[in-house]
Amino acid sequence: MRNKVTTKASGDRTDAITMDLMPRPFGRLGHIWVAVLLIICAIGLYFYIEQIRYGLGITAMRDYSTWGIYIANFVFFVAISLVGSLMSAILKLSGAHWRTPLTRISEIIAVASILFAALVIVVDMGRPDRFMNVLLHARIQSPITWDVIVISTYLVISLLLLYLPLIPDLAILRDHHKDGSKWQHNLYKVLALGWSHHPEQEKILRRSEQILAILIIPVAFGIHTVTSWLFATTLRPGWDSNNFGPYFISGAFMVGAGGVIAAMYIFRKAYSLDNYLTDKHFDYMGKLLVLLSLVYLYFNINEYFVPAYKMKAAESAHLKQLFFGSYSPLFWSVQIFGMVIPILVLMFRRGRKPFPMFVIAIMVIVGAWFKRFLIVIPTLSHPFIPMTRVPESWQHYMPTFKEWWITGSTLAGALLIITFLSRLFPIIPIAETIEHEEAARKGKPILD
Amino acid sequence: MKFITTNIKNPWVSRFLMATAVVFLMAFSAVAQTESDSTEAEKPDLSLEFRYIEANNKTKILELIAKAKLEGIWQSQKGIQVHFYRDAEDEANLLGNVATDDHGLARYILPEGVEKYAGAGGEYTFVAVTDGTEQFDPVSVEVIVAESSFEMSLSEEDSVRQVHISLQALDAEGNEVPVGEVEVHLYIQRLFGLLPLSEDPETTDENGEVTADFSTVIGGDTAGNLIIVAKIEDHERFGNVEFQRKIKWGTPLIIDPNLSARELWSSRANAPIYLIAIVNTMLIGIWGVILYILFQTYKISKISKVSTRSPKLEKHH
Repeated sequence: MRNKVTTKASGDRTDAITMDLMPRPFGRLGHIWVAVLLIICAIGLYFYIEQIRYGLGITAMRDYSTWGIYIANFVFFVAISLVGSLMSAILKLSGAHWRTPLTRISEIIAVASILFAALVIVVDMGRPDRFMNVLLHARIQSPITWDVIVISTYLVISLLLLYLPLIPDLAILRDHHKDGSKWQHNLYKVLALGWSHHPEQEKILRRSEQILAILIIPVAFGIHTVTSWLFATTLRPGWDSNNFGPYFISGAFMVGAGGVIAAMYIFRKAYSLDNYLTDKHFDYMGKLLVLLSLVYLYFNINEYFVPAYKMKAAESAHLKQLFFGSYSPLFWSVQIFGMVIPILVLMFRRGRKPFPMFVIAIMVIVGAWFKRFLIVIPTLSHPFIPMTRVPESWQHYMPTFKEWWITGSTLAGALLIITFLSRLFPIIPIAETIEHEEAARKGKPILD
Repeated sequence: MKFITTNIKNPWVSRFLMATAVVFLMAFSAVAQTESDSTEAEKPDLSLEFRYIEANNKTKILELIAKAKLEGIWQSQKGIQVHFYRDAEDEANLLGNVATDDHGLARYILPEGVEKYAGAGGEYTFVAVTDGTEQFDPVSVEVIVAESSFEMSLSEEDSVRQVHISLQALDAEGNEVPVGEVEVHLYIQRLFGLLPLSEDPETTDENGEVTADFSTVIGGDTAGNLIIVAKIEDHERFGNVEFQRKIKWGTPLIIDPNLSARELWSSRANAPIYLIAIVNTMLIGIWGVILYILFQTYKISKISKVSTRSPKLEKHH
């Protein structure tokens, strides 16, 4: 790969790119950011230890609301992790070369999210010490077993999709990164696998990336379809839908794109990457987000309009609670601020500038989190057999402070992983950027 | 503190350290206060429930349940050492030692031949003594019960099924005499508990006997077996006495062969073959590719042995 023959001019440019994109130590803000995340995680860990000690009684989950914000958070993590397949596979295979500076960001988000998706499931278990029983006594007929299989598979593929394109960059870091400590240098050396730009190495790497890009698409569709089936295979109002697989996948791509846009903006600001994460990238991502949001809006209309038109007895209580009842402020906020406004704003060129895009991305992410809340929780309040002889408090679900904090700490943990990975590795692929620049300069086609 | 303030120039840092020190001191004093409170507090009472159980005129059991009301909630006490004695608390009379389990239960099965220790009228005295612990003082409880002969027979004549009970005990002279006016509960043993045969218990007559009709139609095991249980419960003289008999008075259970068919709703052992095949094919296919990719990375590292370091970038640095 990747720019063997260099002239003096292109060599200078190569040096400049390399220097620009090298991972840099945290500044003051970076240290504060990490400290805050660590404190949130530490307190969350303390509350989790309390949960292990006293059981799930410290949460608001009871006999009816057996799935709370932990599972909503799990669905959110799985959803946002799909961005890896979107950027590294779907856009790669469709020849969208503008995605190059965004692939590493999206893969890091994917790895951090899917790791915490798996972790959140353990957090949701009343007896995490019995976790191995889920594997040892798995029923192959159960969607939960499929979920365990597909999550672990997706995690491994995401790690490989992060790692393989990183190898040439690791070689650059191994040879030219002078600021790091000894362990950091050793890490680069080991992970670079002795990369020497040998044509055979390049051929193997390119082929492997191609194979993974194809492989991850069905697995990504699988992971979120199976997650949707955890709900759709049960006969509950709000979940009893044939539409859930594509509904979840389209929502996942939307929040994933939102996640990448938010990360792009922050990294661009933090590391002064204006030359690499340009307005053009924000513009393209904005257009992509509009497309994904429109698809998701379409599935939302399907998901709510058709059952509302029929208003079957079992569904009506659930839908009325969403449309006009106690969940209606949240429901309409999510629909309007998390979907309709982003679509309207991003349709205009001025809305696709970095800062408006960042604000919209945050709205999409927050909206997406609460959307998962609305998918998971209200349904549990409407079982087919009426609730009788249970304490009044069991008939509603309002997460406890500790539950919120533990959930928040998993989000902080994912951000911490993203932060550390961006500290260790180039957040924008160096070798690929150089290659693309050289190809563009020489008017050659880009090999992806 | 002087040392800290004189060596740290930034006043905000020193203020922060002082504030932290104050918070720690307050926290420490709170903990110390709590600890001193707890040492001065009286030990909570240990509540013991001590029972004698006799089954089928054979097995004799001493059962003790230890509980304590802590923080307003009754909680079973695990790991309490219990010493069981006959007659009185004396090393010579020690029957055995048992520690309470997770449910606060200590159970001791009396050895055969314990009848020889019965006093006049076949009465026994059993004593249970708990060891003192950091949390509880030692507690002693006793139970006095009388030896009884409690029997149940089952009969069926002209499709009329009946349960016969007889209860006898020793009088002061050591003669077996029938005991009347004792409540006897009749049950059918089910998987998770005892199903009462009637709402109210039966009562023994002056001959110490009970005869009850059994007209219940109920499912048994695959052979139609039922276990009928007769019990005297928490009687002041006899304690807990029970008698069980198995008889084919139930409707035989017919197991639906479809339950063991390979279906989506069957147990894990009966998963449909097509599903096992699909899942495993997908797993082998995808993980095969993953292993192939891992092998490719190994090949990349092998090729590196041939050439070293990045030639292009070395030019420029």
